[in-house]
Amino acid sequence: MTTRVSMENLDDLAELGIEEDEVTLQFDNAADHVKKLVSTLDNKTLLDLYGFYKQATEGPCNIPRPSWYNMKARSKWDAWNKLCEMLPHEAKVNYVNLVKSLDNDFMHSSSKERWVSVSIFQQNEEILKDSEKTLVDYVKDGNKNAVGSVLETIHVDDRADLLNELDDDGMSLIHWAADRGHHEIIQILISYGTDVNLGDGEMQTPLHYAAACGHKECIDVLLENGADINIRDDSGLTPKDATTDGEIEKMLRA
Amino acid sequence: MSARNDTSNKSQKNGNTDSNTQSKGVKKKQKVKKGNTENREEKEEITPVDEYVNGSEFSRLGNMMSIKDLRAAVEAFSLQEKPAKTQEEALHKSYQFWSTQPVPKMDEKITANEAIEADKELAEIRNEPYSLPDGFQWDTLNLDEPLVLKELYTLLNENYVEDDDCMFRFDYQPNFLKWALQPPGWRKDWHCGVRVIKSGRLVGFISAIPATLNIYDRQQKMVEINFLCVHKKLRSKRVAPVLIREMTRRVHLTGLFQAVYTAGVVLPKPIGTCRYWHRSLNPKKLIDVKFSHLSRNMTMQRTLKLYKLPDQPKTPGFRKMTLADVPKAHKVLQDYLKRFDLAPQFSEEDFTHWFLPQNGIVDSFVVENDGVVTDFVSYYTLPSTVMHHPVHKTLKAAYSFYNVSSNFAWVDLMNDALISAKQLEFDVFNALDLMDNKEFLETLKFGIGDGNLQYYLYNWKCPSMPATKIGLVLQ
Repeated sequence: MTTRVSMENLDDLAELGIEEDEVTLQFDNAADHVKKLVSTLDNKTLLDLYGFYKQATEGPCNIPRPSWYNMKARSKWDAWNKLCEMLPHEAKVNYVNLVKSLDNDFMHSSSKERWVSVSIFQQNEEILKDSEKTLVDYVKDGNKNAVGSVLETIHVDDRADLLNELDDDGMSLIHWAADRGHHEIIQILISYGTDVNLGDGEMQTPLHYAAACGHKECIDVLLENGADINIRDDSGLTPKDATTDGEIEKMLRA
Repeated sequence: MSARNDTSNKSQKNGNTDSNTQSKGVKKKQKVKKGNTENREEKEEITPVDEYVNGSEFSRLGNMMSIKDLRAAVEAFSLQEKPAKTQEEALHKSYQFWSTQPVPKMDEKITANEAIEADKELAEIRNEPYSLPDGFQWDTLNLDEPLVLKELYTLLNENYVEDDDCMFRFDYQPNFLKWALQPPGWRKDWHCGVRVIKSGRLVGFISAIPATLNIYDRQQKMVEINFLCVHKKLRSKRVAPVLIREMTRRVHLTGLFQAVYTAGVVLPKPIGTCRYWHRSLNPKKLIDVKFSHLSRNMTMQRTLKLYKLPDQPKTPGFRKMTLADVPKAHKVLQDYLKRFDLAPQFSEEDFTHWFLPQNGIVDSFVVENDGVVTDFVSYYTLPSTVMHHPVHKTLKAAYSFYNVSSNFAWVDLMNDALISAKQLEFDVFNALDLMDNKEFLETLKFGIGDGNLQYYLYNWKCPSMPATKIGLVLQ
């Protein structure tokens, strides 16, 4: 979609003086966003923003340095002038990056109050910061690098215990991975010593989860690692009983 | 309700800010550009966004820079003749435009139920179209021409939802557009396009269709305004206000002086505020494309179980509506709509147009037993394009249209609607919290959506109403 739009020939609009590239749009958004931040910014940042803004919109500084007794005007002039011959495009990029560094939410905090927008489910849960995440969060996120590196920090003798432990929901890491459909995480967890047929609080195996949720790649990985298709959960159901998907039923046929 | 009060307060604040800065802004524009009267009229719609900071925010910065100077540094952003980026900015923030229009002020207390301006004599109505920026021209679209319809489809698909970072865009299908824009009494000159003269490219659109509305105890003929859309690259040109003015002129010429429209933004002045609710039919896909979110401690397995529906509708006599049902179903709906403070008056011909099932456009069902039609449900099909997803390209959504429960409970009736939508392979069923929809939303596991829909009347003032008294659904 995006490629097609950018490939599209917009010369007719350009001819009418309507040339807005992505960077300019981002730059305009960032300039808008700064208005909300301005009361929280220090002088140095304001001057940097001023410099990039002038460079982006007017090009290199082209006015004489204000006289020595006008200190404020001089600070502003200096902020602009020090950018020398920086291209306006580059100044816009720098401006946008500076705004991003000042406020992580910029570019993500799109207000829904628009003329027209597609309503989606309201997100009620706070999004966890990376610093607050633990191993189980990485598993749920499907962040295989983080999962791998956390597991590396755990002593070899302790790994199996940790991996085969059930949490308050009666689930272990591999159940979460199978539930969320992260087959690569399943592979990692198994390679670090998870029991492929580990039962949860209701004796459901990872294969029950993958089958019930229709995650075919997970089923493949579990079967390759020797998952037992005949284990019954507390309700007497096998993984095959947990699905209505014909293709998955076939995968789970003895 | 508290949400609505919040937003109106916010808008009032914006309004005040705008009016404070208005004189300054207008002066500047006039100094910078001299144009003919027409151009100046458009210029006045531009609100420079200055004065957004007040002295106190700067005082803490001490005396290294004066307040005035710092403000100048920040104002550099607004002093650059920066174009409005979105329709929202051009319309919402520009109270100059709305202050020229016959709409109630944001803080106006209204007890009357009447037109704001008297109807105009033909001689009072401007004869020639409003002027567009250089290089553009008006073009009435002939939607019966497949290529023209396709152009409109493309314009809306790529530009109707303005958010550049959005994950979903409405994907109104060509046949849906014909259905929405050609109801009984439609007029070709109310399909109003703007093209680039040289290339012929369609870059703007606005539509009107005729409607008769009951507003409290008054019945009023008017138009429904919809599909106001300006090409992304033209946002800076402030075409939207010109489109509104031109459509108003064209509608006036036919002897109509009122309109109804909806928008996500708060403008002067909503008569009511609704919220979309969503019911997952295909939860795995909705989570996958991030239409819905799986909370940290919820499993996919439980989620799938939670939203599972029976294979077949359960209400005895629940079936697809046919042409033969129209007279009875029409009466059922029209009787029901009398309960609301804002509702359409459908003729039987209107009813047939809006509700006779059409694949991929509108689905309607009746509950009929012993030859008596008692209950009615309907929903329209509006897919969304899923942006930036490797697997899923489109999301199939059913939008609740008009429903009537009389012999069967709302929950049972609408559960059957959900089952039928699931059978038709919709991914999600959406409903506003208007009419009696709150009777079933939570019980049937709808989740609240993330944006409001505001209802507006043009050249009409009446007391505002709660969502439960709104009986009108637009596309």
